[in-house]
Amino acid sequence: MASRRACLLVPSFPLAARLRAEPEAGGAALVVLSDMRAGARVVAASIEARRAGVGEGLTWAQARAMLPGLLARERQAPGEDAARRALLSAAEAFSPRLEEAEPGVVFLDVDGEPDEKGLALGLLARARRERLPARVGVAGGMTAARAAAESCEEDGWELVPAGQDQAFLAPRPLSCLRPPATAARTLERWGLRRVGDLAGLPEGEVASRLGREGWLLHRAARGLDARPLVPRRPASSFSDGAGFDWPINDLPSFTAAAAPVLLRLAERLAEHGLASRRLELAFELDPQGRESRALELAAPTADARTWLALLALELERRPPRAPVTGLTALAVPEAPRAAQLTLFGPPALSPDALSTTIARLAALVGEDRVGCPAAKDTRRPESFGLKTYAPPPPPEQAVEGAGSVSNAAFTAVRVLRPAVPLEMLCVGEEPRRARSLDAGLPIEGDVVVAAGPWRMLEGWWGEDPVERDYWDLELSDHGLYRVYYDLRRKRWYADGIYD
Amino acid sequence: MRASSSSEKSPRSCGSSELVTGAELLRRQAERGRSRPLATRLPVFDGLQDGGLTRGTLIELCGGRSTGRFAVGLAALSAATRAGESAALVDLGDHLDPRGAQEAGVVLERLLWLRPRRLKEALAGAEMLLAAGFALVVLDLGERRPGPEGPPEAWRRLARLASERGAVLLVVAPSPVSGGSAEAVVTALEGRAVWLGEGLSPRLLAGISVRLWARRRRRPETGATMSLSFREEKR
Repeated sequence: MASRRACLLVPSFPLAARLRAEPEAGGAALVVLSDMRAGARVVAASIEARRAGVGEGLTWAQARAMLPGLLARERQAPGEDAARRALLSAAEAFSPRLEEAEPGVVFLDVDGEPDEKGLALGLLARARRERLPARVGVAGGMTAARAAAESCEEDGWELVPAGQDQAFLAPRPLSCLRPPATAARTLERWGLRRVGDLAGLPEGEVASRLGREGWLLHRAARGLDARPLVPRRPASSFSDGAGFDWPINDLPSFTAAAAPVLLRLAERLAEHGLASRRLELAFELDPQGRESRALELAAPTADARTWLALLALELERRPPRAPVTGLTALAVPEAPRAAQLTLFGPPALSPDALSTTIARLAALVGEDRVGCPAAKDTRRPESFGLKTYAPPPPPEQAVEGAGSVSNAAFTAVRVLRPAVPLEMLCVGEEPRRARSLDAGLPIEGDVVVAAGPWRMLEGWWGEDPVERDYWDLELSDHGLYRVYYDLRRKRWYADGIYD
Repeated sequence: MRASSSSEKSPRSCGSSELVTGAELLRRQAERGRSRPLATRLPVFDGLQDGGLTRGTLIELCGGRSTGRFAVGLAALSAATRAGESAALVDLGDHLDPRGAQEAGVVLERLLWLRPRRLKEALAGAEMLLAAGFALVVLDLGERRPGPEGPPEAWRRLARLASERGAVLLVVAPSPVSGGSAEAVVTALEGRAVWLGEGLSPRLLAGISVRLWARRRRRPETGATMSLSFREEKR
C-alpha cells in the first residue's frame, strides 16, 4: 500500500508562539527579534509588517525605518517550547507515529486513514484550540505534504491524491524544496525555476554535477523523500510555559500570568484522560538564573484552579529569590482517581479540596506539623512519623458497627513532647513525691501508687543510646503519669499522662 | 358520559417498592448518612448521646486530668476511620502516640493529624478541615494551664460549619470552652485508677474508671452518670 503523510505546519513559528502567549497583539504590524540588543534581527514578521516590506533578516533599525509604527517582541524560548509541545500534542491525538522536522512543522504517518479530509479538519481544529494558526497538507511523501501545507492559506488544507506527488510539485518554485544555498545558486544559473524542471533532468547527471545534495534534491523533486519518517517517542510528561515581557515580582501579577499556563496544561491532561499529582515548576529569574519548585498533591487532579491555589500558597510561603521572567510547568501524568459516587458507602473527600486544604494547613502550621501519623519501629514512646496524607478511597458499602462493642477500651496516653523535667523525692529508689519544673504543665503531689520500674534500653551501640527506668505513678493531684528516670542524664521526666 | 373504571390502582399502592430517580436516591442516602449518629462503640458513652455523636453538631467533652477524655476522642476516631470515613485530629498539645492510636483501632491512613502550636492555629485548622468535608474532627486542647478558651464567635462559627457540613466536631478540653455553641457537653467527673496487685506485691496499671455526666441543649437535665472502665491491653 502506498504511504501517506500529513504535514501540520505553523508558519512564522516564533511569531505564532508569541501571539499564543499575547493574543491581544494579533492584527498589529509586529516583528519578533532575535534579542533586544543593538543589531538584533527580525526572525518573524506579521502579515501587516510584511505588506510594508519588513521581512526576516532585517535589523530592527532597518525594519523601523521602513515602518515607524512597527512593534517588536523578543524571541522567547519558554513560549516557543510550550507552543512546540502544544503542536505535538495536537498531532498526537491523530497518529502515534509523528516526527517534528523543526519547530512548527510536524509530520504524521496517516497510512490507511480512510477520511483524510476529516483528518485535516480535525488537525486544524485541534491546533486552533491550542491557539496556533496552522495549515495541513496530505500527500504520499513528506516533501509533497509540506509543499501542500505551505501552499494553503491560514487554517487551510490541501490533499494530494495518491501517486500525484510529482505532478503536484512540478509547477511549484524550486524554493519549496529548500535547497542549500550553493545548490540553489547553481540551479538558478542553469535556468531552472520550477521543481518540474529539475525532475526532468537525468538523475545521474544531476548527481555527478551537484553531488549527493543534488541527488537528494532530484529525488525530492520527484516526490521521493530522502529518508523515512522517524517517529518520535511519545512524551511521558506534559508541560507548558510562558515568558514574561518584564520581570514580575508581586504575587497577584504572577498569578495572573501563570493562570493561562496552568489552564492549558490542565486542558491537555484532561483531553488525554489523565491527571497529575506532581507539578514541577521552573522560574526563569531576572537578570539570570533559574529556580525550581515542586507541588505535590494528595490525589491526582486536572483542575487548574487547585494548582493555582497551591502555587499561590507556595509562593506566599517562599517567594522566589529574584523577579521572575518566565515560567515552565511540567505535570507528571497519571490516571485520575475515579470520582466516588457511592450509593451505600461514606462520601469521599474531594481530591481538589483536600489538596488545597492540606497546602493551607501546611502554610498555617508548617509542613512538618500536618500529615498522616505513622508508628516508628522504636522503643521510645515519644517517637512518631509523619507522612503525606493520602487516604484510600472509602468502601463501597458503609461499614456499620466497625470494631468491637465494649465498655473496655485501650488506655490512652497523652504523650508529653518534649518530656517534662521533674523534681522527684525518692526513698531509696522508690519515688515518693513529684513536682514538675514546667510552669505550663503543673504536676505536683505525693505518690499514691507506684508501679515499676521497667528498664528500656535502645541504641546502646550508637552515639545516642537511651537507658530509662519507667514508672507508672498515681499522684495525689488525681493524675496518672508515665515517668522515667534517665540513667545517663541522672534526671527524672514525665513523658505521658494516662487519660 | 362514561363512568371511569376505578379498578386501576395508583402506582404507589401497587406494592411495597417505588421507583425513584438516581438523584433522589443519592439525596436520601445522604440524608440517611446525616441522621445516623457516629457511634464511638463505647455503649456507656453512646448511651448518653442517643446512640453516638450526632452529626452536624459541636460536642464538648471536658474533665480533669486522667478522666478518659483522650481515650474517648481516640475511640471516636477509631469508629469513624474503621467505618471508612475520613477523620482529623487537631492536637494542640501534640499528645498523639501513633502506635497507641493504632492499638486503639484507629486506621492511621484515614487520620489527618494537625499539630498546631497556638489556639488560633487550632481553631483555623479545625475550620479548614470541616470545610474540606471531614466527617469527624476531634479538637483536643491539651493539658496545659491556663487552659485556652478562644473567642465565643469562633466557636459559633465552628458549630455552624459543622452543622452545614453534617460533620461532628468533638472538642476535648479540661473545662467547657464553647459557651452555648455546643449541642451537648459531656463532663468526666472523676477518674479512678484501677491497679492489679496489692500491698507489697508488684503493681500493674490496669486502667481507669470514670464517671460521665451529659447535658444536652434544649432538653431537661436528663444526663446520667455511668461508669466506664478502660483496660490496658494485656502485654
